[in-house]
Amino acid sequence: MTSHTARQLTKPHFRYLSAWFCPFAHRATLALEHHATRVSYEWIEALGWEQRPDENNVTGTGKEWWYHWKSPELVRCNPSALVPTLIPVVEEEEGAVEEKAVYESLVCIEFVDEISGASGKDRLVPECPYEAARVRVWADRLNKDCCSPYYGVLVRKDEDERKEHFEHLLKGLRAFSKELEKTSGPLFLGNEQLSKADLSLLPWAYRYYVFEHYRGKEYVIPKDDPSLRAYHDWCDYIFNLDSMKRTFPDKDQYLEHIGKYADSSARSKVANAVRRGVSAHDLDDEKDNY
Amino acid sequence: MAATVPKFRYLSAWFCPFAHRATIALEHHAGRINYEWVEALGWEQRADKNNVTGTGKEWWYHWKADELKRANPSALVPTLIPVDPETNQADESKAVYESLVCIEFVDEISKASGKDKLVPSDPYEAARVRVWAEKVNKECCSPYYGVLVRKEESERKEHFEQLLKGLRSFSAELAKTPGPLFLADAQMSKVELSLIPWAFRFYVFEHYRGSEYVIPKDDPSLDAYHEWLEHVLSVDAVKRTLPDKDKYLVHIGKYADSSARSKVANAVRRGVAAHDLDDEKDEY
Repeated sequence: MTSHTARQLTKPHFRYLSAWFCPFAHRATLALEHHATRVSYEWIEALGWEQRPDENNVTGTGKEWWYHWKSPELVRCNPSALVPTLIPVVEEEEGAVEEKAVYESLVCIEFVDEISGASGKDRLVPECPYEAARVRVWADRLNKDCCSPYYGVLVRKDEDERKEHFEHLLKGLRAFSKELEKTSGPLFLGNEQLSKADLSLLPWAYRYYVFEHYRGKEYVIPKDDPSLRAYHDWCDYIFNLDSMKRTFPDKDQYLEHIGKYADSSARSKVANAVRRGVSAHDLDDEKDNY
Repeated sequence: MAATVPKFRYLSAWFCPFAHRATIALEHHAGRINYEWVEALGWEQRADKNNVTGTGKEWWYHWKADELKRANPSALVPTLIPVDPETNQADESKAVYESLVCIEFVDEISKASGKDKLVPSDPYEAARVRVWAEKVNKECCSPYYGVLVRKEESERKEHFEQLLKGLRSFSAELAKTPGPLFLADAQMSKVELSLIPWAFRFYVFEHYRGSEYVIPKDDPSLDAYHEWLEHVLSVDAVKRTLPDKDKYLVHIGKYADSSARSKVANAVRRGVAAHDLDDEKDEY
């Protein structure tokens, strides 16, 4: 076996620029762990928080500002400097090929799925074009209806707005429940095939627990509501899959981290966008920069 | 057994730029897919009894085909319904919708390969195509309605500036590969299809909003865009799909004078981006 052939047999390898708390990056982590036998990666913590004194009392909370730092590699490879960002490492090219960086969390899921070379049930976007279309439509719907409103609940200051975002989120989960009931098994696709639709929602579903702590009991996803039954069955199943479980951030650590969104001391593009009054998925690279 | 070409009932509307994306995909893959165009939504003029529009007229989406309402929960075009080539039975439960998803679907069902694919086989180029199809949708397509529908001059200007910024960004990306298109070697892609319907329609701005709303032609930062546009409008599969310019100019007047009742127009009137329309809030 020549060294060239040996190289062809090795898994694609990436520098994975990420952040332990970020739900968008979490989507890419799930895709990478799902395809763990087919793709390898090195986790690089590429953005983080640091405390600075709030000298001008801008936050009005008496608390310190949490400034965001970003690694120069992230700033070079992704024009928006957001995570997740995947940079291929190719031996022949002597390292990271930054011009080929892949980003945007939902695009990353499809990319990882394709680069993995997986087939059949292992695919996150199914081979059947009809089911692929259904998965894509729902991945986007869940993003808009169940993920973006999460920030609305946590960041908006007006109680009515928070309630409105939460109702929007519940409506999205009910629509998802109804769609789940159409196929056998607990996941979006039949036969327990994991898909892009599941991965789109999972990082947020995992994080909904923080609502009760920061916003009160009226912000718990109802458990006794029949129209959400399929959603809860989905949670029970997917939260227990090994490849998913490995990726979950520590609950207490995350609860503490998210506090800075809830009290407005957070400076990030997503938080800034929502504070400005637009949806998280409509953040503006320039307006929401900091 | 001879392979049969996939067949569809294609629920569409002659004026709609979202549906136009799917039309170009179907025409690009003509020969690999058969479809029957079904005009599925239409306008009828009704008297504006409460003088809501201030124009004395009010245009309503008078009708949506029952088939459209059954097959697509949002009752929007484009909607593709597969037809069994042997029995001629349409299977509404398998309807495909959402214009950008339709492009990928048509591409896959066509079984095309290599340069004929609208989403390339190379995963890196596929990712780049997907990111940019969404970027141009958000930055160059959605602001079109902002210019036409918003009543404040400053808002119209803001949307137009956003649109220009999007086109400049697109120009810069175009310049990275050889050839006039997004991908190298004149390969048509989902990015082209995402933007063409709007690029074709930008001409209406000058008529309804004035000469300050023309995409500048002497601006070097937009050269690649203009070269791209010239090329795509000469591609046969695209040319066949272009609506009549004068007819479209008359049609779009109802957006410009606020008498249009459509989910997109209602969303923009409500102050949100076209791509963020709410199925219920923007119902009419």
